[in-house]
Amino acid sequence: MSTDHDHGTGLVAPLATAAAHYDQDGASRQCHRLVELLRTDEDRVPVADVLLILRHLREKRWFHLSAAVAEAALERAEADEAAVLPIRLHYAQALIEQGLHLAAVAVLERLLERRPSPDDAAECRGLLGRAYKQMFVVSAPSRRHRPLRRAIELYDHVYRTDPDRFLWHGINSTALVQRAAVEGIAVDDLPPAVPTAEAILAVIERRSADPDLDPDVWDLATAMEACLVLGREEEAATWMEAYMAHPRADTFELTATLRQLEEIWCFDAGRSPGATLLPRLQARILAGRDGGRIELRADEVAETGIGLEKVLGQEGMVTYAWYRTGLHRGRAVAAIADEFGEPVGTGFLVLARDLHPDLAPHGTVLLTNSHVVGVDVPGALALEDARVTFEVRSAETSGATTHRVAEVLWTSPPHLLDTSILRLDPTPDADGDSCPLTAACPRTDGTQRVYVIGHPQGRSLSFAIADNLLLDRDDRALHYRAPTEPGSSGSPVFNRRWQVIALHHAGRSDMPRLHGQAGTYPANEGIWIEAVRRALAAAMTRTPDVTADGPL
Amino acid sequence: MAHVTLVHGIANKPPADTLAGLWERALAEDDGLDLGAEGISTTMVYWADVLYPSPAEGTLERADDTTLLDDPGEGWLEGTSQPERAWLDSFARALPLDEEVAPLPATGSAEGYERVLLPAWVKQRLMRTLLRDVHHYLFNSRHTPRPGEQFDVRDEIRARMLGALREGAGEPGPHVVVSHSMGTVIAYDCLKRVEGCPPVDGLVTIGSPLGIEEIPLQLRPGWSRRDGFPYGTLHGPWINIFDPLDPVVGALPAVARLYRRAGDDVVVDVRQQNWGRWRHDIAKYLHGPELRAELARLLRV
Repeated sequence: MSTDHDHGTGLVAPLATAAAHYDQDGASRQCHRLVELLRTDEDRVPVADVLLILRHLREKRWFHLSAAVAEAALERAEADEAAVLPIRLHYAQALIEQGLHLAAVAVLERLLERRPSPDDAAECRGLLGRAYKQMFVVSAPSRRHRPLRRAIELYDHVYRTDPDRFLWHGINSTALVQRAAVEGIAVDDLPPAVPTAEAILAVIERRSADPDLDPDVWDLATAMEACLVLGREEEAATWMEAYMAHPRADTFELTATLRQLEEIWCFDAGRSPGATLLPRLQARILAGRDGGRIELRADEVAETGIGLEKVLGQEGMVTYAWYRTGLHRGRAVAAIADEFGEPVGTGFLVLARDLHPDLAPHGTVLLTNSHVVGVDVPGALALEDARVTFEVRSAETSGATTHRVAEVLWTSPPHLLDTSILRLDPTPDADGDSCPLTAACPRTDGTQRVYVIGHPQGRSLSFAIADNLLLDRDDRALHYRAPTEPGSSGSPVFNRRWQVIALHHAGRSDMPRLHGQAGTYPANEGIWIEAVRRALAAAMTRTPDVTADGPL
Repeated sequence: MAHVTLVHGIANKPPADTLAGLWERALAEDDGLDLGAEGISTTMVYWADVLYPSPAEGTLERADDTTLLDDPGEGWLEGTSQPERAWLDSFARALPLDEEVAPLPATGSAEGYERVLLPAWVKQRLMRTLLRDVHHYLFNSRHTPRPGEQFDVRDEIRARMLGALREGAGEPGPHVVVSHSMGTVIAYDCLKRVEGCPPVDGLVTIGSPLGIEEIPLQLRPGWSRRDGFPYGTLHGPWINIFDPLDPVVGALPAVARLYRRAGDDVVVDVRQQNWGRWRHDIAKYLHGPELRAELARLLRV
């Protein structure tokens, strides 16, 4: 049980208990209550309580919750900027962790304009460095130069202010300089990597040798990375063991390290040193931790012998059957590209009769956004240019089967329902593969998750199965958190029973709230599938052969 | 959308939110009835804190793990009246436990109770827990679960039940009460005997001791043999789910005979076969196809 002192909300202890048990459902409920309190009875919510809660949420990597709490806390008029600066930093970190890098940059740069204390400025710059680092990771090769250099500048700036203290910033700068060399980006004007790594390692070794000092968890991870810079792989593995064994090495710390090794060092489990470091780190994270996203290659999904029974988040143990059903849904999901193979979006198969009985003769059809494949939609693929490929089915047949779009059976423009129903050529032989639809919509009480399968950035089939809470809904759309990216447009959004409830179509850091509520928040938006069916039914009633959606 | 009011049973429980989550997950597991995914809201009538000092520790695999029954001991017998002890004796005899249980001593002292031949340790705990919890509700005992907090048990739990029912009444769609064990007694008592109780569209009782006659006899005025059905507030079916090997349901677990409407049997008694030694477990009941089918029908899923 937590020993945190509750300053008045009565929510800190229950949330701490939920966090201790990895009970994300319970934590979500407490956060729901806190957000309501912040919006209706702000005098009852001391900043100290908010910060305690944010700390717990960060430790468990429940960033969608911390973003919601931080945003609600920052909505209040707060005279004491110094008191709320830590909340802004939590908010920025939550934005970064959810892939909303530009939004985080905006928040942090504004914080720096207010001339915070040196320590706070260092933290701001560190987070900025992180934001730019992530932007570098997700940028196309031709656009990586600027965010990479900016990240190095920021990290190095902080490190040089106190090299004995800001080791984490120093190793980040150093690792990125190494990466710059690999990327072929000119590094002569950048701080040299090897001397910096040697200096960092020397500080940590000196501290570790002091019997009066307890090793800091980040020092251990930093030492591991310094050894990697210096090519000392065996020593790196030893530091890794010490790091994982540290009592404060929790989900947040371990996942950050894993991400660093995969994204910056480009390690994989197939070759050294990734073969030594990654599997142990991954196992440590998955053994009872939350916040996981699994990206599978198409051939991995095609294999039927995968045993994926793992503990994920507040659901606790989920069954192998549940995973198998999810994997099976992957068979119905397609990547949509242009005639040159440039990825544009995602689509998925449904039975035409499930959309409207009169469409039954069309058998299996593809659902996607009209801003992906549309009629007279600026920026959308024209029918003749679209290429639809089912990666899993292709992997099973040892050859890509690409479909063209034969016909648009119905479409609704992006500003309405952003949906296109497409007949493919050839018609997929999809017995049993199409995604079932449901009219029921899950509760929006902060306990329900959605699951998205798609092709973010045109990459391999990706399953978003954590950090994906359903936030709100109205008669047209659902709002949810999920780690989607450009290219996910047109993805199916599933409920816990792997039934389609929405068609994913947008993600924004400033998504306008529903129900006429003021303000925005970071959220993804999917078009409620029942809204699509109703609009289609209305259109079919007006004109049986209609292909375009009239005014709703 | 539909709404479900959940009412838990005897013995100490995890915190309210955890308990509600356990119930919902048990109901949804293995392709069951997923209330959250169906958009069906729920409220848990949580009353364990009225009788127990703090929530059950740890993460339970089941919502009613008998190894975690907090033993209420025997001190509570002191201060019970003779009629109460007579009732307790009669009720205890009605439970189909396979070891003979001697009657409570006339003085009602704890010392005398210690000399009674009680069943094996699980049944002992069950006996003490069931007797204490049911007694305190039916006789509206005054109880102090924690220093500084005191409750008139039935009054307090009734207030919580009514509050939950009012919350559910505000939702569109069918409102169904799903109750387990002692929770079935609470649900019935409120629906039948409490003025101003909001109406509901369905009642599901699970592992219920309502078939043990000693209980409805303590629910008078209100209950009668001819008109025990709560027709004033229950505007839909009453489904009673029981496993005959559940020790809490008594020797005659079907309740239709005791809760008639104008002399007619109207309660639908549904037999369900759980598994293992402890058949009273709510998680096992919630896994049952019979319960799931009946509840899905009531909720129009």
